[in-house]
Amino acid sequence: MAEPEWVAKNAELAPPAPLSEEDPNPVLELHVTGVVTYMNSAAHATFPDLPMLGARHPVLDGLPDVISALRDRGLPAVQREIRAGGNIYDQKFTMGKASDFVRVWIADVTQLKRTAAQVQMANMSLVKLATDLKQSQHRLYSTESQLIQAEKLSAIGQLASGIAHEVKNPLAIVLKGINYLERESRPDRQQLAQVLRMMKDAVRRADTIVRDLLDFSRPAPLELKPVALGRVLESALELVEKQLTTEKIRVVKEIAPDLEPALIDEHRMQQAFLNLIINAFQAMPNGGQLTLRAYANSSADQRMLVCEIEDTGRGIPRDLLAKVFEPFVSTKVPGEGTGLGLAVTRTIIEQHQGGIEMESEEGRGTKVTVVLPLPTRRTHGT
Amino acid sequence: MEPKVKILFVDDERDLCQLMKLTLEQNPRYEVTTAFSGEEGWQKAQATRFDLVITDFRMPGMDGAALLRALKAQRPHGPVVLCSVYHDDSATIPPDIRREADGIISKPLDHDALEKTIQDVLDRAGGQLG
Repeated sequence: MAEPEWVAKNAELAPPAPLSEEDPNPVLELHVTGVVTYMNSAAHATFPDLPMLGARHPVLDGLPDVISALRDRGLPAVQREIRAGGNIYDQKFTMGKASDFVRVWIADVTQLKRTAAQVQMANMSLVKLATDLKQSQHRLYSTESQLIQAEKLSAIGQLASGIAHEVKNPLAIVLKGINYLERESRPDRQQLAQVLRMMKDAVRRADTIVRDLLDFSRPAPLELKPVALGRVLESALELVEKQLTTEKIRVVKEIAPDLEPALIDEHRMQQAFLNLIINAFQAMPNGGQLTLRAYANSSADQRMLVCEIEDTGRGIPRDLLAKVFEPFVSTKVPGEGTGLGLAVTRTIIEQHQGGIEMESEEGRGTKVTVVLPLPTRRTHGT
Repeated sequence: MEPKVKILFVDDERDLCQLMKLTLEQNPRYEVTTAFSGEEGWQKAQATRFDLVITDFRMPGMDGAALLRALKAQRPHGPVVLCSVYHDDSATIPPDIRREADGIISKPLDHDALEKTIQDVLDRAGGQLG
């Protein structure tokens, strides 16, 4: 059978020999689809990670133009181009044809080896990329939820400012009216006095809600000073102890005496602790024990102060526990709480770069842990 | 008889002005004049020398800060108390205004607390009042 015309025309492209296992040069036979149909032992040795016969491999995509030309344009077109002599593709490869199969005799394997290494590296970076992508996705989700939270807060903030004006002025008028009637009321009008007291309490409640809403949504900038945290905790307790302590509640203080001062806004932190202490008292209508703890807890890379406020009260139902720091979530009866106390507390703690956690068991009690970072200490020496 | 303490109360909430006058004047020591805007307050302060001016912070037109500045420029020791709906004033009332004011009260303020603030401010200003 006469040799095809194009082989004669391009002598260097002509298949030099039949398929040979012993050929010292790597020889691959590929179907025009790019699938490996044969490789000799030299090819096996050179490319140990080339695919099993019949499979495709990304390395082959790295074979110079000729393979992709075959795949993209089909054998007849490539043959026509070769016959025209204009495009010999890559000089380092020779090829021959047997029907739909192409044999590639590889004279210089450097290129292919480099491609194999590149593929392997690409594989590795793909794996890394996938991991990174997963992490980024995770970060994105958490940022997104933070953003949503921030957006909510900003919306509540605007709303709260509006409410402050629209509600506090009428409240001021109502309270002034009550004040006026109080003074006009005669001592024998006991019921009138009682009604006025109830109205006044209602005004206070409404005022507290607006205040808390403002605190929660537009936290004022902190005025940080080095302060003994234990002292702040105790002063918060002192503010309400007289009103709230009953004979049935025992208060235990376990405050480490030599705590390093922390940089805090004393007034705001006192407010945060106050909310937690009031909650603890209110959770123990039948008595119990309130424990306040403050201690240092430092590891190699972080120095922290820990405060714990623990009660032996009624506890918080499990399904509510995850939500207690959200605004308007309350376990209290109307009038006892606005549902904003813990939200405000968390805002204050987070403003101090701290964290707050709550553990609770129904019927057993609740423990709130506040962790505040201490400023990093300068290391001396070299 | 001891001369009355003359107070000017400025607020664009007319009902609040009226009730403030009613409640404060339940104490015979106080004589309260009201104004419903900063401009009106300023004009009334030109006609009468008040012992104390209490002004709302946020009002249309001449607001509490502008009135405070104008009054202080005229009589640096005449006491002026700002009245705000915010309890936490550092966020809304600029620090320089806070420093200039003789007191800040937040709405709604119970009468006893209000009287105490008024008395404190008047006591402090006592030395400067002629």
